[in-house]
Amino acid sequence: MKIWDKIKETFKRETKETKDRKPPGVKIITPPRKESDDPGPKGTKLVLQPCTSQLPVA
Amino acid sequence: MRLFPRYQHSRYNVVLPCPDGGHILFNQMSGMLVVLDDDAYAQYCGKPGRDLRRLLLDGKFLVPQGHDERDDIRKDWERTVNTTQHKSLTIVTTDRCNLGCVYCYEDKADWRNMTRETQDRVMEFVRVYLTSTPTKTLDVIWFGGEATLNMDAIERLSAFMIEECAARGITYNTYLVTNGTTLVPNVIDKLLACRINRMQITVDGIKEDHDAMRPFLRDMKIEEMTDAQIAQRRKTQPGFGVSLSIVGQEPTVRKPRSSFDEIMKNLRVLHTRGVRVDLRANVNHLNKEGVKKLKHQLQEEGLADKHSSGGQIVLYSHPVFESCTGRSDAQMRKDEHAKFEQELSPEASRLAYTGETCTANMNFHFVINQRGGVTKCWQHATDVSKQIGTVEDLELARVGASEKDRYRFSPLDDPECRECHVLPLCLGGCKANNNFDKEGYAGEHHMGCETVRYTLPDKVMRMYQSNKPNDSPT
Repeated sequence: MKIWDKIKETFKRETKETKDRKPPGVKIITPPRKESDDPGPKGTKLVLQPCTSQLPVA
Repeated sequence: MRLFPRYQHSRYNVVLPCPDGGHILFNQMSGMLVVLDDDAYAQYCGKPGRDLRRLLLDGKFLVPQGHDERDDIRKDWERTVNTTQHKSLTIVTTDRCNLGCVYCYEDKADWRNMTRETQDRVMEFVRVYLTSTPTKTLDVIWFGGEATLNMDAIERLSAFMIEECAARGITYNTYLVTNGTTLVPNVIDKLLACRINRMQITVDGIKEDHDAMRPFLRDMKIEEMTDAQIAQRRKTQPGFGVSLSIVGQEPTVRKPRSSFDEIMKNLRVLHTRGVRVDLRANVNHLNKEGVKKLKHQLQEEGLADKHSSGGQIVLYSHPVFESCTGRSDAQMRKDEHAKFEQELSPEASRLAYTGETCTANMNFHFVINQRGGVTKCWQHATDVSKQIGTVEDLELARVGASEKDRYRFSPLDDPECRECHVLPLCLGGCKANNNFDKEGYAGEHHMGCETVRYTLPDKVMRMYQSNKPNDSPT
């Protein structure tokens, strides 16, 4: 393995370890939302619910 | 708050004392929720150590100093409203209706179905709409009047759009807004064949309340009807009410039917046929207790549970304006409705910024009415004065509504929305109702806002209670 690949591998492993390390005194209840959490395409509501009763009579 | 040279707290953090010790920290942009013990919280307020800082950055609790997250939201907003890839249409198959709801706003001036000739024009519009710009998904909502009174239009247009989408690799989603009274088994079969397995039906509480608010038009007594309802009734019965002798008489020799009973019967069938029903209750102070009882009834009958077929009935509520009911003491303010909503649906929901907005804001969302007129919002569906064109205007299909939309609205440019503490979760709320708010129709009711404006801390606490591990405290 080339020296550069070794450095990259070490850096990658250490970065991941650091990232995965949970700081003391913290409890994660819900992680950050991911795009894949939503079934619909980004930026649109998959299902729309018209708000027909909210219209005032002018 | 300035902490140290590089970072600052997000403006969309929510901090609450945790009932199990420490502090709850929630960020609207990421949706991350954590509990910090006193030491970690002190670091959060001052200078977080390296590991805590990394976590706070991941959760967007910290942002680079001087960074305004509203710039990020604006970028997303511009991308979302201008997207060509995700398109949506609301199609009004008819402005006829078999109910005479006390709060209906549609004038139903045409009282007619979309003709086959108009359907053909719609097809040509859709063909141009789907092919002029790259398209990945098409969402179609069937709307009315009572949309199912024109099943011919639903079936013909569905077949066309399903085929067009399949040929072009476009994902096709569809949804129906219906009063639920017409959904007998053979109609359900037809809807399922059109891939309509999700719909909105309205039930305004218990039978007594619902039938008073949403009676069958043919069963109403003339002395109880508004001028608009009488005009509507005369569309099917021209001589109705012309003779004075009819006043004070029963409207029909038949026993008046209950629309509540019809809908509940149909809901039980839909539940077993794999249909997801969003059951909408229009609520004010007069029927709010009845809406809670309706929820219990659904639970007792097992309709709120997911059926093995996949069917499910999910109840939610919307406030009704006083101008619709004539009772100034009856209307819920938005904050009152927000509180009611929490009582009705105590279940926790996942909160997080998604970039989703009212589709009326999107350049490639159109509402097509029974005559082929095009508007931006279903609240304006049958209002000719709000039309931005017709389906013959193929330029609309090619370039979107863009400058033709006289009711454009951006929460980033609205002073109140821009400063609002729930901007990422609301993103301006309902476009049409925001305009009504601005024009003063709604007074201080803030009808355009999402209820989360009034319930954010409560919702965050419910998220915590629902997701916390059993070994709390921290």
